Amino acid sequence: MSIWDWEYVWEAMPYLLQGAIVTVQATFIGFAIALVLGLVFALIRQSQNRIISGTMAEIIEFIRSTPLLLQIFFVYFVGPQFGIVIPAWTAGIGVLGIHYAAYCSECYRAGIENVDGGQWEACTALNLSMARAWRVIILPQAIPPIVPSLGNYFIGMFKDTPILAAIAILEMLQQAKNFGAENYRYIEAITMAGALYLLFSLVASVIVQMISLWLNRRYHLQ
Amino acid sequence: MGIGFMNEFALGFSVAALFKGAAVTLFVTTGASIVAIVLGLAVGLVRVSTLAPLRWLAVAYIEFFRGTSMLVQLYWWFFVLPIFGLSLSPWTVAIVGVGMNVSGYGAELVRAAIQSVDRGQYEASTALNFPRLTMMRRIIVPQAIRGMLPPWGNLLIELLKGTSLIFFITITELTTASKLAADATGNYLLFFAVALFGYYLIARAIITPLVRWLERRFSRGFIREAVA
Repeated sequence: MSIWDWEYVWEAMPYLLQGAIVTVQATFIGFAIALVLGLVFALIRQSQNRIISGTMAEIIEFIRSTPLLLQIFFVYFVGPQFGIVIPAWTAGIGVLGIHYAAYCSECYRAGIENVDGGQWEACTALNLSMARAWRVIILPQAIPPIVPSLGNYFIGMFKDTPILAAIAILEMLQQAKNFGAENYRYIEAITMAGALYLLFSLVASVIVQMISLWLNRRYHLQ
Repeated sequence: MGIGFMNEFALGFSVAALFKGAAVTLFVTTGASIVAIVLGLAVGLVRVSTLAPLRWLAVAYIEFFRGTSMLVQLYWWFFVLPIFGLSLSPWTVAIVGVGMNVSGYGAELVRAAIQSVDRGQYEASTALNFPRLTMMRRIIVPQAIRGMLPPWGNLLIELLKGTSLIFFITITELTTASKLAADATGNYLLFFAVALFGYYLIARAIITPLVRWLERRFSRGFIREAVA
């Protein structure tokens, strides 16, 4: 048997692609949660109330400095101890979203803090309500510059999806490993999985760059 | 009565296992950090080399380790390399695998920090007729280190979290130990909460103060930064 067998690669492909669909789904849904929740976290952090903003900051720090795997275990296994059964898919993607929401909220914060202070004063002068100031003036200026760093987290999240295998979600890497284990021949399946991750993250980084360019043009940033 | 005793026995046993797991996590984190820092610095410096082929090699290294998932890399070290006759112990895979993955990110931090050193410093070195090596060693890198330390702190916390992935390659570190303990006793809330706080403690009580201390140490003599 040779070291690399192309026929075996084609045999593995359907399994890998089946896993790839799960991986891509998890990434998109998870990142949608992260984007929305991250903004909510960031806005809570901007609260005038010291206790609220301090607590939020501490929660974000905690989420950011503990491992995703353990957080997934926590949500997935602790629930049933109290009679609340959360399906693996919901728990996995939910935690993925919350974990990255903590990172995204730091991006949003950087964007919000970079908006010139005069913009806030102008909002006050124009007697805009708080909600309107955020929506119409501050966020449209805060978000476009941080799209590249949000994009990095998108790719980071994509590469974290194999962790979902720990709670029996059949994503791409788990499919590869299972397929390898069936024949005790891991090399093709795992290498191809690696190549697919590389391919997808390259495609994703091109898309992120395009979105970033489009936003910069639209908001005349450069 | 009998069951109560068994539960207590299992609990004591599991707590001991948890401490051992925390020690393993600390050990792997330390080892992988050394690998990541050494390789990150080396590759980062090659990345800003004046020789184009060397630069391309560094770019390939960085893109490879940053472009694929850490878990894919660990599987590759653990399941694929033995096919080429290179069987590594799980410990080697854990330390080298996690360390090399993080070194890809570290190399980018090194590059960014070196490139953000003021242009004038390079020009002054040229004016003083320093060879490039002396310029890097005496002028550029000492200034770049101060800039790269805070992001390295974040990266080392990422590394600490990354060590939880060796769960998948048969080493009983903190995450694995907490899973085993929770499975054995049925008390998932207790053991996972303790493990989460364990990681938080390592990050906040060891890594962050260590990096802060290094920042202060490397900032000696830079009055502007010391005040700010």
